[in-house]
Amino acid sequence: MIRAQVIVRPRASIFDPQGDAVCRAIQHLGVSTVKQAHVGKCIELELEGNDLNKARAQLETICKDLLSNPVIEDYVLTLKGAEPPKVKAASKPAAKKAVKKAASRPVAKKAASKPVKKTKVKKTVRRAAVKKKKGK
Amino acid sequence: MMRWAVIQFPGSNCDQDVFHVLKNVLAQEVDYIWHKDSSLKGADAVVLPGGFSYGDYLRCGAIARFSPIMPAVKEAAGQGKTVLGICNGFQILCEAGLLPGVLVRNTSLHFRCETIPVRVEHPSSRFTSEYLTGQVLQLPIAHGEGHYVADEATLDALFLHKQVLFTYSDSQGRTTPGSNPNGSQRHIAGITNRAGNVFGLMPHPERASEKILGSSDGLGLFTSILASQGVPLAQAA
Repeated sequence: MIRAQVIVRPRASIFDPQGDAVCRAIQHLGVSTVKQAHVGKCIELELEGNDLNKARAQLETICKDLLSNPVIEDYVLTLKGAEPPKVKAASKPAAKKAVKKAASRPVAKKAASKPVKKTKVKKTVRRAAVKKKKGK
Repeated sequence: MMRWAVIQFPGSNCDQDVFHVLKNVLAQEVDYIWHKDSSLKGADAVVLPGGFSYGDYLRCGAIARFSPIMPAVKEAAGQGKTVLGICNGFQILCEAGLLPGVLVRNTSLHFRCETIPVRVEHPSSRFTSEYLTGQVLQLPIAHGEGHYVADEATLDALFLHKQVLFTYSDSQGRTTPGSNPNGSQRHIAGITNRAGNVFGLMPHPERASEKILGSSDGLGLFTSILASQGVPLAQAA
């Protein structure tokens, strides 16, 4: 099993009225340190199989053709799953077990790729900044 | 007489309005074509009507563009046949790449449902030949995602090649910030492809094609298409 996450975001050059409304609402609630908000989509997919490279190639096409519109949006695709373990032909049952074990790992907690990780770090920093200001 | 195909997607809701105008007001031959069909049954012109195809999920028109009928629509467009996309149909044509740009959420975030002035940019197209340059029409709009977006080069090219047929204006034909209902770049309300046979617009001409409905200003769009094909108007209202 492969799990994929696609984050679709409005391009920076395109005015995002939803993000603007959300930003103003946040400011209205007293958090004036928030200067920008962008509203996108998070699409989660589950795929059969365990070939990450093949899955990535297929999903890149889907991201470009369907899940995002390159005129107005950017996307970040992250994949999580287990590569088939390299084992000898004789030990097939063991291989199956390894795949099962790998696939059953919990997913969402840790960011799988750099872009998502970066966003999380930024959020943490921003939260910290808000707390600091509130403390004053 | 022309043979028309009105495409029905799941969620289309202006298909019957278009059918009525073509069949009962203009005495044309019209077929409904289900989106899962793959043939336009020999139609001379295709209409992608307004509505909320596939519930507007993902983006307006994003899923409809992959409907089985769409290859036939693209083929018809390639052959120079008339393809008209109204409201959601315009969004589908953009997603399908038959028209440049894309339609996004109205700047105001409001769903705008009202009759507004729309200015005709020029009559030298198969969709506007029955109008005059600068003529102001009263046409209904009903959309939440009608904000036309394209890059600057595309916008310049659209005006340079006279592909912009309708713009939002005030009742005097002036384009002011207040006369733009959705934030569309350069007040664009309707554009054609470079070849001039595919037209998409956000206003609903089919809802303004009979005087009893308050305005028949939209009828000229359909009669222009008929005139461009040399079709005599048998029973035009």
